Amino acid sequence: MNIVEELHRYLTTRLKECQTNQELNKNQIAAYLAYLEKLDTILNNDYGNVAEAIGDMFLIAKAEQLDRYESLKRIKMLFGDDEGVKALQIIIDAVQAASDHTQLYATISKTKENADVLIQNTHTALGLMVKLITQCVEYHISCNSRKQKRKAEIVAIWKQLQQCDPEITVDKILMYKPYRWVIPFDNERLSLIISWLREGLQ
Amino acid sequence: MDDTIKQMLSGYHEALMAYKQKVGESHAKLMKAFAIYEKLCKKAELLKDAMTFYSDKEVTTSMADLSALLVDLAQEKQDAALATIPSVAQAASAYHIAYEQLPLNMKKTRSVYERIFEIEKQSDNALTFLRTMADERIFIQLSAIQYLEQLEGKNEEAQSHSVPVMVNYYEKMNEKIPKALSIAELEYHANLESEIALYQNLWDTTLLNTSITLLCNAIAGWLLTQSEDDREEVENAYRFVAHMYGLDMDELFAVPRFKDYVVKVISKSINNVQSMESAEALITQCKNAIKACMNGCNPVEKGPVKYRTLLLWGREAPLQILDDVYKTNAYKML
Repeated sequence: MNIVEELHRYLTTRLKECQTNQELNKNQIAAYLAYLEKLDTILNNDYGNVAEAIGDMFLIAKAEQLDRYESLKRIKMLFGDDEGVKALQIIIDAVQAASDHTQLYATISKTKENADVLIQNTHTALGLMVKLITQCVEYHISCNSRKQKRKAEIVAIWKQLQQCDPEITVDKILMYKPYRWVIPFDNERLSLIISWLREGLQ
Repeated sequence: MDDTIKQMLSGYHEALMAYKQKVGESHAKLMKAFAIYEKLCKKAELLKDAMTFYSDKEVTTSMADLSALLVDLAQEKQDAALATIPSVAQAASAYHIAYEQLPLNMKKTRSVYERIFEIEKQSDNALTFLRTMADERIFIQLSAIQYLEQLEGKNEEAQSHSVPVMVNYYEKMNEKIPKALSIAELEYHANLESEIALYQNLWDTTLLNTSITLLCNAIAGWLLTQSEDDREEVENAYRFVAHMYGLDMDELFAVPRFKDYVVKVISKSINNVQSMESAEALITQCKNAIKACMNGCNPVEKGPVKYRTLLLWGREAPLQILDDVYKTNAYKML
């Protein structure tokens, strides 16, 4: 068996697969090209030389992770989710710094835990935004005897929201894209709900 | 010996054997690692249950030391003289573990694994095995087929529970996953669709909470108590909905998204059955309740016609065609 040829064929096939989408496979393409280049310098069929040149294909494993988390970050950016972007950048930086397989997976599992907290926090904030809008409407339609109770519920949700998003303000609801993506109303109608929120928070 | 300890030790053993091939058995760090491993094996024989084993101080220290040595060994360079082509069994072992854990009903995914095992039998070593897998596009096939098989039947389920956002999610996944030409592309579409579904589901919930659910809850309260407080809330809820969505009650209950929700969720939860007849009866009951609560009050003022259109992803979302909106708006933004 020609070891170099066999490996060359494997790497080329995987490279072609990655080249079907240059943007999403950017790091993997670079890694496959780097190994193919190294392989081209081997003139005999000795596996020892091959193993020395390409090692345990760490560059590919690292590139796969980089492409994975960069693409997730791209999605968070599309939705204007700043916290999600920050969370994924933490993982990307850690992956960049890894220098072997063990370190790579250890660092991913460690940083992913912190990043997941940030991502989960954003999701919780979005869920609370739905509850807040609902509660403001329920406050608005409530009979006089229930107004205070519903007002207190608005305050309670607002406090929970502050825990997830310490920068939350009434104006941020109008401006921040991820919040707007879960609210079906235009500014005109949302302003009405915001006025009930202000009333509830007084 | 406890199974979890046995598994953990065999993991260590496998790693040590791999490093033996990489750096040679006389490598100082490897020898040290083997010594710690043997100490752990002896401890495992002595402390038979996992609880006692893992809480033993010596065991904890040994495991930490061994892990640190394994990290160091990972960074060592391959000794060219020792390098041998990995066996096909080594390369295929992870697929066997995954196959064993795969539910029996995932027949399509299982058949991809079965093809992998055929390739394994026909391969002399890991290189031929991986090259054949790449030639046959097994890596992407495995991910795609597993994704799609896990989604089977989910679309119908989402439809029967009135979750149009998820109907769109399953449709888009079924459309995009088979077309993906690389694993990164497949994962990108899966993650993108799941993010779109997350936002759209919350949007849909806000909509229902501030329309049909708001009104139906108020009506349910009034039907139960017939109190003035509850009557007032039905009146206020109706005025709010009529203003915010520019619709009277006949138009409101006819909005396809709202009607679907009444039929499949609200009526089903009350009547324990999903039928158009019982939903229609419920809608009539709701309308009669609204009429009774509005008796003697000024008629509701509908909001302007433009309020029949909402905003989803910063784009117009006409109430009458929300199912289509869920399938299109997000993709216009991207």
